[in-house]
Parts: sequence; C-alpha cells; structure tokens
Amino acid sequence: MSDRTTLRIRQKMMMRFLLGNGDEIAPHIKGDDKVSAQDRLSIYKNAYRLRLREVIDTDHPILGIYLGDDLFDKMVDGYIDHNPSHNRSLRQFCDALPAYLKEEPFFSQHLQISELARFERLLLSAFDAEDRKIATQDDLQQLPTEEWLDLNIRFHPSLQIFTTSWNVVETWQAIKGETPPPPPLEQNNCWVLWRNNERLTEFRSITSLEQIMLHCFLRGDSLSVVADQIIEHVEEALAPQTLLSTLNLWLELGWVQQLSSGKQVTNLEAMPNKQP
Amino acid sequence: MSDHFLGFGLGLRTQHFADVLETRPNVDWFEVISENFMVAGGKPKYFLHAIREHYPMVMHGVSMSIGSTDPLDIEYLTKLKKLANEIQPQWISDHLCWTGLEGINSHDLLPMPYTEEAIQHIVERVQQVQDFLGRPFLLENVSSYISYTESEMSEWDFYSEVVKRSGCLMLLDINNIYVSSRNHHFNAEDYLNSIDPKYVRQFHLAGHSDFTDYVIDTHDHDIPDPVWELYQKACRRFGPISTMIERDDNIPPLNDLLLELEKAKSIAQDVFSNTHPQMVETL
Repeated sequence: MSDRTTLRIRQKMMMRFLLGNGDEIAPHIKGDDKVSAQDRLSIYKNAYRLRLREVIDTDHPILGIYLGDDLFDKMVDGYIDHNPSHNRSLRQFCDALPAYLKEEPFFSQHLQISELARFERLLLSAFDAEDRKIATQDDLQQLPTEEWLDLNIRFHPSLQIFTTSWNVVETWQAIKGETPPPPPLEQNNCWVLWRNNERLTEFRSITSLEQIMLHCFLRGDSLSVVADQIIEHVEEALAPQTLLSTLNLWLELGWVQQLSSGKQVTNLEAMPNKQP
Repeated sequence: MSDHFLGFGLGLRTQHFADVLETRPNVDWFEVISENFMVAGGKPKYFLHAIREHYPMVMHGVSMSIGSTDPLDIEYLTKLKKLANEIQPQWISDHLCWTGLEGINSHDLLPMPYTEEAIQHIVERVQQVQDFLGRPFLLENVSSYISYTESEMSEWDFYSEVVKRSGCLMLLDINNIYVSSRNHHFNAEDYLNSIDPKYVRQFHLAGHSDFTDYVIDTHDHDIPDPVWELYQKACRRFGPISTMIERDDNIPPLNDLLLELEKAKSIAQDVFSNTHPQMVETL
C-alpha cells in the first residue's frame, strides 16, 4: 500500500505514538466529556509497555529477583525503548536482552547480569527446541566395532552449551532455592543444558575433557579424531575407556539423537528421510 | 441447526494441559492460540498433539495483522498453515484489526478506521489469506478504546461489509461488543441485530475490567452479568453457534471454567427449548 494513503499515514502515526515518538495521532481520535482522546490513546500506550514488561518478567524470573525492583524497572524501561518488538511472537522479544545488558553503559559494568540473562534464554531454548527421538546405549552396542573409529554424533536439538566467565549458574540455583546468591565471581565454567525424556529442562557442568569431546563431535570429527584430541589430556591407556564411558553417559542423559559411521546410521527414526 | 455447531468449548491454556489430559473433562472442543504452538517442539507441542487426539480443535491467532498496511507476512502464514496441517482444526480465526507496522509489533489488537479505503484493503488481504490457508477463516470483532474521526460508518457495518465482500466468516466476541458499546456509547443490541446470522460461525465469551467511565478487555475475570445477558440475546438471534470461554489471565482451576461453561450451556438450552427444541437433548 502506498505511503500516501490515509490508512498508512494513520497507522504510522499510531505506531509512533505507541513507541513514544510523537502524538500527531491525537487530533484524529474522538474524545468525549468522560474520556479524552489522549486518555483513550494512553490505554494502548500503557498496555504496550505493560505487555512487554510481563514478557521480560515471565522469561527472566531469576534475573528479576537478582536485580530487585529498581534495577529491574531500569532494565525494562531501557530495553523496551531500545528494542521495539520485531517478532510476531513474544517468545522472541527478549532474545536481544543479554546483548543489551552487555552493551548498556550502566549494566555493562556488571557483566554477570548479562550472563545470567543469557543463561535464562538458553533454558528457554532447551524447553521448546525441536523434538527428536534419542539414540540409546543399545544403538551404540549395535554398531559393528570395526566402524567405531568412523563414528559421528548428532546431538539432540535441545542441547545448549553455556560457556561463561561468571558464577551465574550458582547464582541462579541459589535464588531458585530461595537462598541468598553468592557474590559475583569471575570463574570459567562450561555447562550443558538439555531437555530430558520427561520434557523437563536440566543442566550440568561439564569437565574440560567433555568440553573438548563435545566441540570435536559438534564440528563433525569422527571418534578417531576425538580420540587423538583427548590423548593430550588423559593417559593413552585410559583414553578408550574414557571415551566409552562419556559416550554412554551422554546417551543415558538423552543428549544424542543419532550415531553414525560412514556405513551405518543407528536410530533411523531420527532420520526419517534416510535409508540404511 | 448449523452443520458447524461444535457445542461448548474452552481456550486451551498451559495451566490446564495436564488436567485436561488426565481428567478428560466434559468439554466439546478446544480453541488454541496459534502463536503459542509455533515452536519447534517440547512440552507445548507434546500436550497439543496428545489433547488433539481426544478433542476437536479450532485455531485462533493474534498476530496476522490483517488490517496492517505492511505486506502480508508469508513466513507467518506458512507457519500457520504448517500448524493447521498438524492439528487439522475445524477452522482458523484471527482479528479484524492491525497489530504492527514496518516490522515492529505492538502485540495489541489495534482498531481500524471504519472507512471504504480500509474495507477494500482488508477484503483483498482476507481473500489472499483464505486462498493460502485453504480452510474456513473467521474474523473476530475486537474491543476498542479509540475511534477515528475519519470513520464513515459504524463498526458493525464495517465488519459486515468486510465479511460479505471477502467471503470469510464471523467469530463474534460477545464480551468485545459489550466492552466497545460502553467505550463508544452505542447500544450492544443494535450491533447484534445488524449482523446477518448466516455469517456467524463462533462466539467468544470472556470477562473484563470495568473502570466506570471505560471498560478494558482484560480476560482476567469471570464472565459478568451484562455479558451473559447479551449472550442470551445472541443465542436468540443466531441460534446454536459454537461457543467458547476465553480466559487469558488470572486463570482459575479448570473446574471453575467448567462451571462457567455449564452456565453458557444452560442459557443456550433455555433459549433453544423454544427455538430449537429438537437439539436441546443433544447439548
């Protein structure tokens, strides 16, 4: 529709009003002796901000408690002004919140806040990630041993890796358990978040060895390449057992959707379009 | 009686997922908010499919923005169609309003000016949507707090004209008619009496917040008496129409909503015992 039509012009005016960028719309709205045009328009403007505030509150409950009312209000006002909603679904409205908190002059002085927000977003990503059947330890057993060195892994879509320099997961856990959070502390941590078989979101910290294995498998390395990588970190004689026990743990936790070698794919249900 | 009468339904809400699945309440059908299930997977999708196995469903959207002067969002419509293919709803509905512009969303149901220009704009878009979705499509009247000085007709004439020219159907929200009648000082019965019954496929019932000088459509209270009274009049005018209760906030236990649904059924039964005696036993 042309930018010059009355409808287009009126809608532009209304959006500018909602975003707090002008009230040229007011003369085009009818008022009466009980409720003025300005008051009627304010119902929409207040609802716009209230709705977005509720989304931030719902998506980031622990962050809200961590900040307290005043700082939460400051964050909400700043974020809504800085990030009008570009998605039809409110599910995505807070996607840019961690980046906003990392860059905004006040909040960027306390980087753990941005990290706490990022952790809560990853919890949501795990919660509604795509459904896939998971591979099991039986699937691993079925793979002929001569093909093990070519083994590749595809992880479940809900699996999220959270690498952070702050103790924010401990903070999240403390607040969730209604105990005082620890003081912010810089420490390198790596956590994996995923959705379990009961569709509940879980997370656990992983060792640096698991971290190396995860990154190798994620970039498509086969088991033989991963084995070469971990030999630098464990005794060579222990490497096979370490690999096997870690793989079994991942399978038990439901992190893996598919095991494949160059010749064989297990858990075919995870790949409906492929033939063995 | 309409071939499309589903009976008495509820809006399916997260808080009731497990209850519905475990207790299989006496609800004829459920309405789902389309956008809530446009996610890849997880719990919401699991419950949606599990509950769908036991109940008919209709899909109700809140962000099609049919009245916006932005181009139709094909990505959104594609996701909507995909969801419809998954759950096979009896029909799909959205609102006669606009929700955003230039890629920014208000997440609100913003009213249209009631002009010939707006009618032509919406009719063309509704036809495109219907062609794309390939399913019955309903438009719902929204609650409003503003009206535009350039409006050339009443809301009901505008609504009727859009539906008549585009070939879509009406989801008549009884609460929204009441709310808007209070905010714009018109007679809610005039609204009902101007609507051609052949276009009406579904009713919404809901509660609101009354601030004396104006009323806000909050969906966070029980259905108040004036809305029940208007519903009774709607039953008399339109006959058996698929009816559901829409509760979006301050959501009570499922049993409370079931009691409200019984009240809706009882009002309809009283009306139909005179007008449609043959169907009362089936309610």
